[in-house]
Amino acid sequence: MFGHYFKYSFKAIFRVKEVLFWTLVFPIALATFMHMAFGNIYERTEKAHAIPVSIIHLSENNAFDSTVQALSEEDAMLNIIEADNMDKAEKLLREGEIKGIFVVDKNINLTVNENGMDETILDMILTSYEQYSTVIQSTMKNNPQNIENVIKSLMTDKSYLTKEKTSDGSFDNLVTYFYAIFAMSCLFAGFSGVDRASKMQADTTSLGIRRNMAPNSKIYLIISDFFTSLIVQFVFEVIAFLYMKFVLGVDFGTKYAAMMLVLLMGSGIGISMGMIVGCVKNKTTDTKIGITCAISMCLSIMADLVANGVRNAIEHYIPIINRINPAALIVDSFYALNVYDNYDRFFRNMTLLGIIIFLLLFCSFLLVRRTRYASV
Amino acid sequence: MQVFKLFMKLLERNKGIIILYTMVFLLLSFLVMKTVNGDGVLNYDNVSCKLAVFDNDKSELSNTFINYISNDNKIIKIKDNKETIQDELFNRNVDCVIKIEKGFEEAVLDSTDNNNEINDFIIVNLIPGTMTSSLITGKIDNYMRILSAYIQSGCSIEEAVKLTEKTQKVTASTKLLDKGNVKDYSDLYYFFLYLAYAFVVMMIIVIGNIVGKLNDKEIRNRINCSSYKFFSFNKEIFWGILATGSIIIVMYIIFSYILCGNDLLSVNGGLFIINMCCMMIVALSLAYFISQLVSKDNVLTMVANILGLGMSFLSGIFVQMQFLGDSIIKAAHWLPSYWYAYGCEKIDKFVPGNNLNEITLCFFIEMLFSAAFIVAGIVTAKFKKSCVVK
Repeated sequence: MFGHYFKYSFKAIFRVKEVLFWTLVFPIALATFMHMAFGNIYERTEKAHAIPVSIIHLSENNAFDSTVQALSEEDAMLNIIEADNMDKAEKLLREGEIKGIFVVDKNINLTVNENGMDETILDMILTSYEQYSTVIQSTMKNNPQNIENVIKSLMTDKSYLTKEKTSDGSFDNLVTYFYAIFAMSCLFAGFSGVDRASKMQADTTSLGIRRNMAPNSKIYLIISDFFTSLIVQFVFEVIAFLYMKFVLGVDFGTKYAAMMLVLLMGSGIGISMGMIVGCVKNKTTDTKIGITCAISMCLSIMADLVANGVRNAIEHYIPIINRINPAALIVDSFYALNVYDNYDRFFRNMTLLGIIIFLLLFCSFLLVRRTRYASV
Repeated sequence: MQVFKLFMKLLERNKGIIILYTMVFLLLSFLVMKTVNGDGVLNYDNVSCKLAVFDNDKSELSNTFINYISNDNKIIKIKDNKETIQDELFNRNVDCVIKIEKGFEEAVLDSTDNNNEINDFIIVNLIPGTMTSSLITGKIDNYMRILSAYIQSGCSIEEAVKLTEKTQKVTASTKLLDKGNVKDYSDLYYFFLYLAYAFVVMMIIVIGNIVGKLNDKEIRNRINCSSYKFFSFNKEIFWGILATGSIIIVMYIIFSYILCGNDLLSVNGGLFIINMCCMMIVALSLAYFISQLVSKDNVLTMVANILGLGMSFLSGIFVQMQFLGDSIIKAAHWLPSYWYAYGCEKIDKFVPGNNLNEITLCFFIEMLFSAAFIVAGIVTAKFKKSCVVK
């Protein structure tokens, strides 16, 4: 009997085109738009690059010229853009072609157009030059015999610090948006859950009437519907994952088996959430779909879907919400797989997801068992 | 005006959608206005980084070092464990974690030319390959080189620390090209920018639902049997669509006054309102065209969300134009929302007395898009009618 239910439930699932759209097409489309929009943000905001700058000489300063030359060749911190005169340089600065103008005269001044990271680094370069000059002048005055050691000390390119590796994973925090898309699409599997649950109720659909006349226990219905939806939803999630990984080139890391487990559990929680909403009595299917949509969007927004940092803020102030929010658990699982080198947090999240799925399915069963209809 | 009255009745039934998307838009605008925006810039100031510092040495030298590093930067307190450090760095709550290990002062005192010993006592965790990491490592190395240089010149450690502190007071002469240069956008900009998404999605769903019901086969056949001409029928639908747009524009002008205050009562505010009206006409005409192609409610919602999100992401609405790739910007020229967002940028930077050519060009292009959508909608409606007749 379970096999019979499973087979026909599987066939019926593909007739509901709206569910196919919201769980497969919409996440892929959203991921594509996000990738097109965010693709350049890291390069333009955070990534280290050579800062375009112009130098206007009102007098000679070989020391400064050598310093700038070294920074533009070896370290590639600077990219010197030629400007014949100050007017031309100011025009380039206003248009954003360069980030600063070094004016070399008796003193060296820096002109910038805004307060930003590039401008701060240019200021740091000029400040370091001025400070090194002060050290050299002070040494020439007080201890000229040690000037060679001082210059060697200042000009060394060795670093005084050790950079400890924070993680083997990627620290591009924009990938959180893609984790949140997975969380949203998993929770949108709730539409399938609502549809399945509606088809179990005699007061909602004619199929429900026929199913309620059968003498079998409702647990067969719930489990067969749950597993068919789970298989289909999981396949959709894998398709979306493959698209994001290989077509869009999003870096999720290499722990694929664990990621598949996250997608499986995520699909399960979305379907079970939809089933419990669908089992609520005296509401139309459209109302239940609306409730599922509202819950899914709220939970996804709290898991960084529309703005980065919401989940982290909740973790700081009310961490219990992140432990019961399925979307946050899914996003956190992906994050843990990317950044951490152990699986502790990952298994904690999987356990919590498993408990929530069990509780939701159990409550669904309690809601529908022994339901009798006087008339439909 | 029976069709117009019917249109208004159906609009009233769809008020839930309008309220929902308006609430989403207002929440989004409010959050962005309060978190992103800043004041105008008068003088140059360095960008400050967020640092977490753990001093395990607790010596005078480490204290002096920490005072130096926290001069231009914010010190954030976090827990000293690996997971917390990873979380805070990933979420950009801190830009760098600096640990000064025990024995730092002795290592500096014992240092000669070989600075490898000091290496082991300053440990940093940061996000590699970023400008922030270059800035922070540059500052740390700068301080240590100067300190080391003074020690090499023959000074005692106390003298070297004092001289290093004194040298740190030497700063570069940096100035802004245009004082009072306002880098950030105004509140008006953020309010008017995001409403393009709300308009497109709302209008497609609402107008699509209403026109879909009016184009229902049975209702349509009854209307065709009546004395209502095709032109009159469509004319009243157009009036209904215009009335819908007008009501929503008035509503949003009131919201903008509530959120932005008297900033709205300016030339820039007036130009923003004109730009908003142009975008509303684009949204209405697009909605009319889509409604001729799609009639099912659930399909309309799908199309509305795809179009709304796609246009908003690619046109510099959800992500500022300066961060979009060049190919995306070029492709976005084919979207009406791009010209709306471009117009918003130009209006925000507009100063009375300057040329209005670029802004009026944006208005004109938006109207061209509207005209194209309306013509496409009418042609589709005529084609569908002729198919039914055949």
